[in-house]
Amino acid sequence: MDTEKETMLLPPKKRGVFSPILIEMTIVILFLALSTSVVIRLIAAANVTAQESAYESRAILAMERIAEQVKADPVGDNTCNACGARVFSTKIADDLTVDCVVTSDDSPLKGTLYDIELTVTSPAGKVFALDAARYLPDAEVAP
Amino acid sequence: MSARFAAQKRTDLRGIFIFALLAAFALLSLAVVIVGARSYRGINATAEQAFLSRTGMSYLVGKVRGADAAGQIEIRKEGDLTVLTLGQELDGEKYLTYIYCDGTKVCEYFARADAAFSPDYGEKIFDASGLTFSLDKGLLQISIVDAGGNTYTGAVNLRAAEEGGV
Repeated sequence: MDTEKETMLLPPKKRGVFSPILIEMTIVILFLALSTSVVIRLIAAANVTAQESAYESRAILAMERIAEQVKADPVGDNTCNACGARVFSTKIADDLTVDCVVTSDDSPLKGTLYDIELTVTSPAGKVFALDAARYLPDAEVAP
Repeated sequence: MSARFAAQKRTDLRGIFIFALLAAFALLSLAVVIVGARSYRGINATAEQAFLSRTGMSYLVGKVRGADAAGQIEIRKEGDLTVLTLGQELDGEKYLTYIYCDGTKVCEYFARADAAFSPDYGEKIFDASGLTFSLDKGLLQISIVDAGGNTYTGAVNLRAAEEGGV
């Protein structure tokens, strides 16, 4: 009986504003938010890398193709600029243009060495370059 | 009575809040999984395209370069198929490597030149829905069409053309 009286006389227990379960949930949500942001950043980075890789593959394939075409016919239409180089661009796709500079060097004996410089500038400004060369012997002079 | 009602209300609100937090947790997790899956699919498709355009094309270009000798490279019609034949001589016997696409895959078939060609014998190199060849002034153009309809074109300058034959 006395104990009951004492309990009734005690001031009511003050309850905390946040219960432990709420604090735990908040920490979990915060952790989730942080890990989600990290995962989304990783996914975005992977996507960008994949896109760049795909563009690089297309650029290299296009440059190799143009290099082979120039090797097959290094003289082309023979329109050279003031520096004696043949400069032209080939549009492969809306976002992919191959720029080509062909310079000829007559100094090798009995032939001409054609130097082919190919470049592709990606929409992001990255430059991909490929160099090739072709040696063409002079046509035999009939005696 | 009023205090009890207020306590009950507070408990209900807390329950709703916890439920909302759990719902947010579930929705965010689902969103991350969906975004990740979509990204993975995109990256996979890009890798597949890169494989076709780089590995597949490099393989074909390498085969052509290996057979680049006068009179050894030919584009033939075998039934409905356009076939690239690459010749080579072994112990005085002529053999041919046939490269063609049957509509779903690019195949390679190696046989004696006098043996009849059958597309069923070919071994798969890679998946593709089309493969075309064109030969003009010593320049062999190879076009691969993937399952999505994308075309990848490569070219090989044939040295044999300078020797007077392809």
